[in-house]
Amino acid sequence: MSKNLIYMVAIDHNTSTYRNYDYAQYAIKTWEYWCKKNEIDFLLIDEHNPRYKFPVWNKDTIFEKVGDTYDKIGYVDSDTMIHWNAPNMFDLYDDELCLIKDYTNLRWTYNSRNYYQRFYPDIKLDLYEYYSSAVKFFTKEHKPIFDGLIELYENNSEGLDETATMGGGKVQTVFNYEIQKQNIKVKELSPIWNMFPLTKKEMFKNNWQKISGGIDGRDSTPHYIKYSWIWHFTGFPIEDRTRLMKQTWDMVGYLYE
Amino acid sequence: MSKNIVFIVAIKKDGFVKPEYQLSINSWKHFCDKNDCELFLLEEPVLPPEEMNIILQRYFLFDILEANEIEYNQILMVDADTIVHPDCPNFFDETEDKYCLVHDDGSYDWVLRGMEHYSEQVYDGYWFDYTKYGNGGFQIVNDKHRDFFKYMRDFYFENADKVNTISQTYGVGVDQTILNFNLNTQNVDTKLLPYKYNMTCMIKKDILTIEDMFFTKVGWVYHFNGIPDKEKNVPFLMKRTYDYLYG
Repeated sequence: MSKNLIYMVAIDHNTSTYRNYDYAQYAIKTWEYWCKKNEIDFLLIDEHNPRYKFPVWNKDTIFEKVGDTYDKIGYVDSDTMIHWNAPNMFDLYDDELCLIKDYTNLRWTYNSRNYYQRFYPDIKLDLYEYYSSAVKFFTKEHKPIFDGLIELYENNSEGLDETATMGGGKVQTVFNYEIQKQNIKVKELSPIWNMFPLTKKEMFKNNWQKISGGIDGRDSTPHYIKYSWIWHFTGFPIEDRTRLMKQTWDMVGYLYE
Repeated sequence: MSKNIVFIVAIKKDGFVKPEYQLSINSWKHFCDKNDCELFLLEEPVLPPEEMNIILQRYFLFDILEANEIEYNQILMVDADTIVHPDCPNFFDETEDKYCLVHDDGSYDWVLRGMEHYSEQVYDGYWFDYTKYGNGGFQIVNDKHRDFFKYMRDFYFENADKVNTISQTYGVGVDQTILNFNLNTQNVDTKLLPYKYNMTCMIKKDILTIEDMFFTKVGWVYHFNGIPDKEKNVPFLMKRTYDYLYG
């Protein structure tokens, strides 16, 4: 059995306005291909654990599902797609928790930090040491982080579910508080491993000016496909997500066959 | 011991500095007084602008300081469309004596198009990690970088036609992309400081709101670039910010 695992939570649930599978299907196709190519196991969590109100919390149950089977584990959100030729991320770290910084929406982070502060009254979260929890690579030695988050929910489910409706996200900020509480060593990865927000950074655009390569001296390949490994379809109206992920699949899907 | 310097290019027109640039200067004067630094203004160009773009003339920095018999430790070269918060920490303590910039991710489209054109037409296909690309509006250097500044000037004079053509044809800037290419080709040891020290493209990041002055809560150096209708809006926003912080 492979000693490395990628897992994803993709659950259709009545708390979501949009059906998860509508867009996750494109994410899954890319991740399944990449995992097979790199001899990595892929686990899809598509059943909701009723202890939670919102399905996103299911990602914290990974060690309940796989125990200590895997040395290294990667979690990816169901709105991410991986480049068909992305290198094997598991070769790029040893025992660290690997994350990508997120200062892309400081207002959201600032508010979210304040909303969730009450669950971690002794922790001061630095806006510039704040990470996305949508893509993370870690090892089985990081199980205490997930245990801590499960325990947090068990003890505060009502408050957390209520806070989750305030517009500061559901799990990312508590994850940041928890890793700071546990004083976890973080290895910061390049944003190419979790490229977002694609709209604000203008990564959907391409070099429309005359340049070598491409057709008729114009290169129509969007920047995100040329210059990043994991494309994260967030940071724009959620109703656009399925369309943009489908467009991406229609453009490059043949390269995963 | 030599002081740290804050160096601003603020060329006078008809004998006057733009009013908004004066506000920038005032804020940096406050920073200098508080942190025992010296403020130096370049008010007259070294060369006529038709010979060398004004923005590139900042790479005469060390010669200018020497000509003015100014001793220095580290130097911040900062654009005049910035305002620093009165409580900004002394970032000179965070440089590790490296060439420091702040990553520019305001528009990767602009960055990547610029890199592709310069790579193809000036740098023989050379490429570097664009996620380490720095904004030229906030650069901290020291005497170790004197040779690199000469390299920047020589490089420009040797490639002026190409650089000016690319800049004018594709609208991808003059010095910033060259700076980043040259830092990489010359293996200069750089350090990227956090965004809070050079808050570019604040509109894109949804933080430049004057009703709550939100941007002043989440960082220290406000860079008023990437703003539409800039002749009207930048003076207004800089005055509003200065009055809010220093009024």
